[in-house]
Parts: sequence; structure tokens; C-alpha cells
Amino acid sequence: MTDPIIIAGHSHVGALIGRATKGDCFLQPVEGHERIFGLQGPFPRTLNYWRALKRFAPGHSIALLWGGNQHNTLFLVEQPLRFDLLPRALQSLPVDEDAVIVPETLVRAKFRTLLGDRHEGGLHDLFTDLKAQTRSRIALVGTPPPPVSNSHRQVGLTPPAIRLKLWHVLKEIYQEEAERYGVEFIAIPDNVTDESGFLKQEFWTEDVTHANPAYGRVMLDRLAQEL
Amino acid sequence: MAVPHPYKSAPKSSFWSRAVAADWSPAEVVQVAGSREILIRKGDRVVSAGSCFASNIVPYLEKAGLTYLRTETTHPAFQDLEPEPLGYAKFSAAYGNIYTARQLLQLLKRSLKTFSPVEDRWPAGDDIVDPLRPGLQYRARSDREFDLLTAQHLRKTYDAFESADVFVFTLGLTEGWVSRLDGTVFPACPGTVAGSFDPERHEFKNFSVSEVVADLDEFITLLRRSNPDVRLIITVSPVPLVATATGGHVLSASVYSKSVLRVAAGEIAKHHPDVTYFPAYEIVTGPQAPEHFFETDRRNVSQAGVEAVMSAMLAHCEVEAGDDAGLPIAPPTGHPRRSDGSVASKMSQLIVAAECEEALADPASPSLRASTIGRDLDVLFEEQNRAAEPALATETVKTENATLRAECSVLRSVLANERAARDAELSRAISERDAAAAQSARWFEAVIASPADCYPAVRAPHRQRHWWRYLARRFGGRRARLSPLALAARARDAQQWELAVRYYRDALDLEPNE
Repeated sequence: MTDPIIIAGHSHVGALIGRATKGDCFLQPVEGHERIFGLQGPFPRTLNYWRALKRFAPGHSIALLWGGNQHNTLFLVEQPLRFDLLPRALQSLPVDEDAVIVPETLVRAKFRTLLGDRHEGGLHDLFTDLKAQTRSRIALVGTPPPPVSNSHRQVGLTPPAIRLKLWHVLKEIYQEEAERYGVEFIAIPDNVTDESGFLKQEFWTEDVTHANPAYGRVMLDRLAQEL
Repeated sequence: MAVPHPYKSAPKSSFWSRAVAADWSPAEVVQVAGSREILIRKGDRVVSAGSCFASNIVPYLEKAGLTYLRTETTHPAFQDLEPEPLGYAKFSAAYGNIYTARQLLQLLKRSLKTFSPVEDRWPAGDDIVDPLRPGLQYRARSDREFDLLTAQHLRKTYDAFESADVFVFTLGLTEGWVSRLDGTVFPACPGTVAGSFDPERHEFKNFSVSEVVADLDEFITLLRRSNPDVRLIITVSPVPLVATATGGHVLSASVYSKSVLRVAAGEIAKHHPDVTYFPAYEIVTGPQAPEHFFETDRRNVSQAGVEAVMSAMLAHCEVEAGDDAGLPIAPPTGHPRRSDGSVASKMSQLIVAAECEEALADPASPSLRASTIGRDLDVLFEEQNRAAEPALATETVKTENATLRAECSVLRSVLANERAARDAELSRAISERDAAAAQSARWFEAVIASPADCYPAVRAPHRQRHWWRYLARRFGGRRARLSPLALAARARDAQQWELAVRYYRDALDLEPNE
């Protein structure tokens, strides 16, 4: 018998478990998945939310969606001085040589400053405490890639190709963090992305930084399968 | 009729007794080439390169209101990160320290795409090391990225060289390490900063006067093809070698090396128009120089030494009164208390050494990381105590030791205070960042919550095919809608002020007269 699963985390959990209207922390069953519960709570997340997760953790597997929007937080709006990069994982993508090319290692260093892994209630504390609380499986879950859109120039957004590269860098960092803390990393399945790696249009939502409930259903199936 | 001998009409500066022993003025040693009599004018774009000592001039020039040209800087979005070490962030482009004339010529040729090293990269685990910039911390992770970053660096270097009105080059060394394959000269011996030493591929080279002259000559010729009007200032670093690979004594090797460079610089200044030899070397190392122009290791130039050099330089630049940072022109006459063997001095060496990859050639160099300064301080303190114990037999030594202990205590206290202040600052910055992020998120959510019908910027892309249409649809009417005023009131009651502002604004857009 596999353990029930708690899904918790920052804003990307909305696609999987919805966003409760009240601010209390509580476990909410996920429709269609009797083994999966979403940890609802206030946004932005508070120390109480993470404490609640630790409290509920015993006997549960944990699927954590941590951050995942740093590439948008920093670079959703196009920088006045354009830049581009070439992540090792995306060698075939073109690079805008008229822009400033920044080393992938520099981008990684920048993202690591926003990982939230060292302050109280951060990733380090959370994984350390969760591993002490539960013998069940703990997983860091991948977050959705950006959608492609040609409207970005009209609204001053960073071109989607660059946001995709940034997202890849961030994804790799999360994979490395999972390895560092000895937890699993569950990547997004291939069927949510198009041939270029962007989020498929059927999973787009009203804002450019998150995915929709259809995406959430795919991820729920994946979590049920993996955990 | 007898003609007076030439010394009769020689100026005061020709006589040691009147120009050095008395009325010493470093600025008078400078002889500006050409008819301008001004080394650097206001508005001249200054580009520089050279050894560690060369980077000293930059802050003084900028403080004096002169224009230091930087064509390759860290992208603004990443400038809050730790900067590149070893001088890569200190010069006009990110070429770092350039110690030999051959290295400078090689850099220009690479930027002109007329030379490409055979040994142009060293794989190093997850990264790729640039053998010609081995100390870079933000390295490429793939060959293609390495090619792109290197090409960009060389373009920016060319931009600097081509745009310079004044190019300042400080010769540092004659000793270097070159590739046996194609003569590529490395900034540091392979294996010291990065990479590994291979006697099959790497060999030692001690450049001669004729080679240094030929390299500088070719550099100036090539540079002036792209930038015909550039004026040059050539200097020799007064900093001795950290180590020699000749097998001889490092002191003899240093004097030989500096003598070669000094002669070569003189030859070049004599044979090229608008090339000024600037006597930084003489000002710091000449017999007239006070002892405290060097730190106690007799290698690193002290602040007073640097200021004497820069005062002499700025005296020949177009600097408005008050712009020269009040630097004294004459060297101090007294001998300020030296810090022989003191922890502060050793710590200063550590900090200075941390800026210089040449120092990494000395395996006895202590740890250079700023983060270990406190620990190194403790180690040095303990070493000092151990060394001092046998000598504590006399009261004099006891007194000195007590003084040193007091100094150490003060320094540790200063360091502790600085650490505490830094930690407090970090903590405050994290709080501010988190607060700003939370506020940013609230505003972001408020913005995307705008009803499409009320917000012209959203309405415009309504006819288009992309995600904005979905955004507009969602807020456009699939749900039972409340009026913007009602939404604003609800947000206000929930103390969601940003959202409330958003909806009040929408309400005003609809009913401007309300």
C-alpha cells in the first residue's frame, strides 16, 4: 500500500490543487485522486504553512512545488539591455549575438540567490525537518515551462525563447538541489510541452507565468504514478 | 673661442643634487611625448592594461574626473553578484592582468582575428577553463557557449582598443609560460590558477629586450592601423616578481626583468610618436623613494607609493582644481610607523595577493579567499605567538608582544564588528527583498486581475490569437461579473490594497466623472 500524498508549495500548486479562498492551513482531498491531498493555505506562504506541512507529513509522501517562477520574477519584463544565454542542455537553440551573452554559470549564480534555501522556513530547513518527520518519499516537483507567444514585443516581455532557456537553467538547479538534499526530483512529462519545449497551448492560462488545471491533472496523474 | 660644455646649460632636473637630493618632485620626472604637454585631457577615453599594479590607476583617474572607458562589464541584471576576481572586472574589457608585452600583442591579434591559440580551452569537470583567462569564475559549460563568450570578449576588447584616445600599458614581467605548439603565452603557469602543467606542451620563456621591443613595436603598429590617433603611456610596474622560474635568486631575476622592461619602454618611447614613458618604476623604487613605499614584504607597493605615482601622473593631466583627490605630490618626509610582522600587514598582503594570479605561482601563498580572512587572522596570531615565545626573556620583547597582542585584539574586534555589520546588512537586505517580492506579487496579481473590458491595454490584443485573449476571456464574461466598484470594495474590505487600487482605477476608467 502506497502512502497518501500531500502536494504543497508556492503558486504553481494552484494548477494541481486549486487555491483555497480562506487563509487557514488545511488538507483538502483532490477530486479524482483519493490518495492525493492538497495543502491549502495563505498566499504568500507563511512560516505557519510550512509548519503545517511538517505537522501533516508523518505517514504521507510529500510532493513539493518550490518556487519555480524565479525566471519570471527576474526576467519576465525585457531588460533595457537585452541579453541571451546558451544553457548546456539547449545547445541547438539560436543565440542573439547582438544581445549581451551572459554565461549560464552567471545565471545559475543569480537564481541560487533566490532559491530560498537558507533562511528560516527555507528549502534547507524544510527538507531537513521533513526527512526527520516522515520515512515516506519526498519529491521536488518540476514547474511548468513558459508558453510561447508572439505577443511579447507588444507588451514588453522577454522573448519566450530566452524565458525557456532561463526556465531550463532553473530546472537544472532544482534537480541538483533534490540530489543535494537526497530527495527525488519529478520532472514534468514530455506530453505537456511542444516540440520546442514550450508549454503546449492547451495548458496555457490567463497569465503568462502559470499553467492551467488541465496541466494540473496531467501532473496529478504523474505524481500518483511516481509516488 | 671656447664653447661652454653641455652641462653648463642643462636644466635643474639634470642634476641629482638639485632635482633629487633637494627639491624632489616626482611630477618633474615625467616628460610628456609630443607637443601637448598633457598626458590625459578632460574627455579623453582612457583604456588601460597591464599587471596587477596597472589596475591601481583606474580609481584615481575616475576620481579625478577623467574618463575611463569600459566596453565589457557585467550585465546590469547580474551586477549584484560577486564580481569576477583577479582583475577581470577592473580593466576596460575583461582581459584581466596582462603581464608581458607578448601577451598584450597576442590579445590585440586575437581581437583582430589574426591569431587563434591551438590550446584555447581546458575542460575542467563541469566547466571549461579559458587558458588565457584562467581565473574567471563564471565559466562556460559547453564548447559552443565558450566560443560565443570568447568571441564576445574579443569584440569588446577590440572596441576598447579602437575607441581609446589614450592607452596606458604597464609592463609587469619578462618571465612567462608559452605553448610549445604555437607560442601562445599564458597569463600564469598552467597548473597554478587552473589547468595542469605539461612539460610536453608548456615551456618557460624569459623575454629579452629585443623581444619586448619587437612585441611593443608590433602592438603599436597594429593598434594604430585601427586607431591612428591613439596616444600611449607606457609604464613599468615597480612590483618585484613573486617567483622566478630561471633557477636564480628571485631578487636578481626581478632586477633583470625590470631592467629589461625599463630599457624596452624607453626604446619604444624614443622611436614612436605620442608614446610617453611614465616613470612609475623610478618613483617607487629609486634611491630617493622612502622605505615605506613598499609594504614590509618589500614586494607590494604601499598606499603611499601608489599615491606618489598617481600624484605625478595627475599633475600632467587636465584635472580641474579639486579633482585630483587632494593627493600629495611630494613623498612624505617622515617615516610613518611600519607594521613589521604585524597581523594587519600580513592580512593586507593576503588581500592584495587575492587580486593577483601571479601570486598563485608561490605555493607558500596563504589562502587568498576573503571569506577565510578571519580564520587566517587567528592562524597568523597563533603563529606569531609561538614565534615570539622564546624571545620573551627581555622586557622589551614583552612590551612589543603586548603591543602586537593589542593590535591583534583591535583588529579582531574591528573584523568582528565588520562581520556583524555585514550580517545585519545582509539580514536587512533579505527582509527588504522579501517585502519587495511580496509587494511585487500583490501588484502583479492586481494587474492581471483587471477586467478586460475596462482596461484598454488588455482590450487591444483581444483580436489576437495568443494568451492575452484567454486572459481577456476569463475576465470578460464567462462568470457573473461584479462591477469594478464592487470588486474594489471587496478588495478594500479584505485589505488587499493593491487590488483595490486596480479596481478603483478601472471604475474611474468607466466612469471618469464619478
